Amino acid sequence: MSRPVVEPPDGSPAALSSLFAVCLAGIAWSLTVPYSTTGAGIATIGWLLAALALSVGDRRLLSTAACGLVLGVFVAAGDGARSAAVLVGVLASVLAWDLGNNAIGIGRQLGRNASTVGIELRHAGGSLAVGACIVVLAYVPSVLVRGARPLVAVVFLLVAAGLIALAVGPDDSLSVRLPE
Amino acid sequence: MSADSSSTAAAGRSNAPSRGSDDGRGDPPADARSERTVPDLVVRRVAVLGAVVAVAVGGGVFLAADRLLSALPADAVVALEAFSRLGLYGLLALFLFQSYRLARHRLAGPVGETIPPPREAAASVPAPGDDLRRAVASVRNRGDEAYRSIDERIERWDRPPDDRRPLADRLLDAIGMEAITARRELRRSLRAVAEAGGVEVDDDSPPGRGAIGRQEHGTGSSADVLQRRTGHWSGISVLALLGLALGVFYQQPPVILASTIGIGFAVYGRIVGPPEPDVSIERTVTETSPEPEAEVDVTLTVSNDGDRTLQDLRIVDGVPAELGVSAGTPRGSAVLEPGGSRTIRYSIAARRGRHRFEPALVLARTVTGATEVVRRVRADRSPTITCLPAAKPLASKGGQFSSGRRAGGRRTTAQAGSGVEFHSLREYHAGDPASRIDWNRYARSRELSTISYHEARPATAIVAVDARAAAYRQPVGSVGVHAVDRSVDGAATAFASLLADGHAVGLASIGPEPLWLRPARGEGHLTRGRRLLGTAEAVGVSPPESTGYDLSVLRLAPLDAELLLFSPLCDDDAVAVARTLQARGASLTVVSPDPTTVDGPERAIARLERRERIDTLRSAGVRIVEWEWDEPFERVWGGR
Repeated sequence: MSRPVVEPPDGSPAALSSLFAVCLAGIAWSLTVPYSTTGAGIATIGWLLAALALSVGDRRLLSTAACGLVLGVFVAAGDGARSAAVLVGVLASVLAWDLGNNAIGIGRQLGRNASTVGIELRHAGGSLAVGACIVVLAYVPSVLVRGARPLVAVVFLLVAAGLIALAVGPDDSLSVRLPE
Repeated sequence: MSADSSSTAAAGRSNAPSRGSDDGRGDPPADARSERTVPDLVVRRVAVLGAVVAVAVGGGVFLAADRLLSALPADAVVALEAFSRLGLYGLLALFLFQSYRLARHRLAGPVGETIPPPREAAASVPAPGDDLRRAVASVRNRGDEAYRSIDERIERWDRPPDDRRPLADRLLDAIGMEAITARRELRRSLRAVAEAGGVEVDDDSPPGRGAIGRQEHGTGSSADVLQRRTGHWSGISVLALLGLALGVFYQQPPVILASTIGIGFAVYGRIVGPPEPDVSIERTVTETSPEPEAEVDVTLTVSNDGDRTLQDLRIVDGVPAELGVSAGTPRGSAVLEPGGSRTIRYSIAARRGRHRFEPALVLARTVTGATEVVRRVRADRSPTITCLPAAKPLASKGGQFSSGRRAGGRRTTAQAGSGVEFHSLREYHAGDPASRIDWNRYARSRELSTISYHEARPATAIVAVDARAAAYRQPVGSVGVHAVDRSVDGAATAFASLLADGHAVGLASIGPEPLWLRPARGEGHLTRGRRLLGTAEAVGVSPPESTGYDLSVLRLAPLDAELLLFSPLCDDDAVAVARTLQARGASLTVVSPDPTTVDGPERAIARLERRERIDTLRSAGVRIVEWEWDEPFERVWGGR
């Protein structure tokens, strides 16, 4: 008395985005290898964690993996990686995190049986385009502006950047509780 | 910012000196909260203002550095450098602190996405023995209520002595794990009792947390439209803040540069406005009145009626709660241009009852994934699926259903008249047929007398279905068929067969609000009965809310009516019902579909208990016909 039944989604992430995410994590990893052994080591752990996170569909693990990848790239930067490599490495890590999260969300809401290629490509395309723009906008001025500049000016620009980063943070992350 | 904070802090102190440590807990009124915290928006605006000022000053210094430096005295330049360095480090420390807060927020808080209910599976009911399973799982130690009640429940049987107490249990007891050992001990006892009673236990795996019952259909949020920030990009600003701080501390310009990626994506996550999904859906099915178990194909078309492209649309159709999806998936996604549409196809397995589709769940996201709008959309046109039980009459061999019925579908009655079975003898009246004169008696005594026979005439039967909440049980592994479904299927067939034999047949149910159909004959009556069994709430596919029952409708039955009761006999009330009906003088036959299984000692006990109920009823003179779960009703009706 049992009929064939279609099971509800089991939470496994969408296939295409997961694949993209693992490839992007691989790109981030490959950019650390030429510059730093330590950085490459950290990035390797990040890459493995990313693959694990996407096979079990765990967001927290994926965030940890992305942190590992970014940290690996930062360490590589400390060991002499060039600005372009660092920018691309960080971008790839961020995109891996973004696409991986999207894959997990789609897996939970729609499952693997549903056709989700369209929305996956749209999301990936949007993020990639924005990421490319950011990298270009950050890289070009850094190449154009050469030579010694007063530290005060740099400091003010950094302060501005940090404050903007604070201001665009997630909702309700900035309320300050005052002591009694 | 500092002026603002000090003034609110002062206000907080003067107004609420006694409000102690409840800060952050409970729900303080809005004004109390604003006294104690600087709201998010204020800090955000101050940060933006500070950034604008910093950019202006920095840009000024950057462009006019030489002029400014030459205009200022040398000491002032040095002092400015020193102070700005100090200020910068302070600010970087603040950034580090904030990025710690953000990271913790990201890792602790779930992403705000709507998880649609599992529409694929039909809502299910518990298996016999699930209550016992739950009771065993809730046992904490040998002294608690649950332990004692289970112990009492199995005391009725001779329990074999439990002499095999494994070493592991003794060790666990020694370290105070009584909750585990008590449960194991109970299950060992249950198993022993079941096996002593002749019920072999199949699988002795302890119940997992999810194994008891199955997931019910949730309706999700009841709101028709809901907009929420998913927090997809929350945590990305950690990259910006951390990059800035680390880059400055370790003097790595590429790292500082990379932090712009964090800022860029954080902005990206915020600038795209929420989508406005103006969608309509249309649903068609291949068959609105299918046979039971038939496959019905559903086509769902989602159209974008708005004038903006929906970048990320996710759709989950509202499959009727009682039906299961048998092929395809009721979920889909689309990027929909204005005027565009998308079709989702899947199949459902038809099941008795009248089933309405629920609103489809439409989730529209921005391309960034940062905002999600949830809408529950009703279809412009949506069919209702009505599935009636088959009710095909079977050849009248149902000998075991009736004490007095003869082949040919007639039963003898207590009334005297024409027939074949002797009833009485009376004086001859003029006009009595010569065939009924007792000629033997005439030869002996020369007196004319007339024999009366039991009058044979079509009987009256009531087919009743036990549809109390406790009858809604299904075997482990059965999908979308429970004992009441089987009972109704059997009742429909019995109803049709008895009608075909020329009896007057009525319908009844036992439950909180029972159904009643007066006994009658004819084709129209068959249609009425079938419709009632298919669609009446009283014998619906979902169990009633109330666990009570009402036998009063059966008083409407004629006194000489035969009663055919379908009940799985899964609780002791079923026995009470049968005995009450029997005590009223009805000729009662109970047909009992068997939903019990033997995987696990608790379920084996449920089978043992059901067997005992059958024995009890049999010894009280009730006729019981057992109906195995996999057996077709023809075999039961035909008398095996």
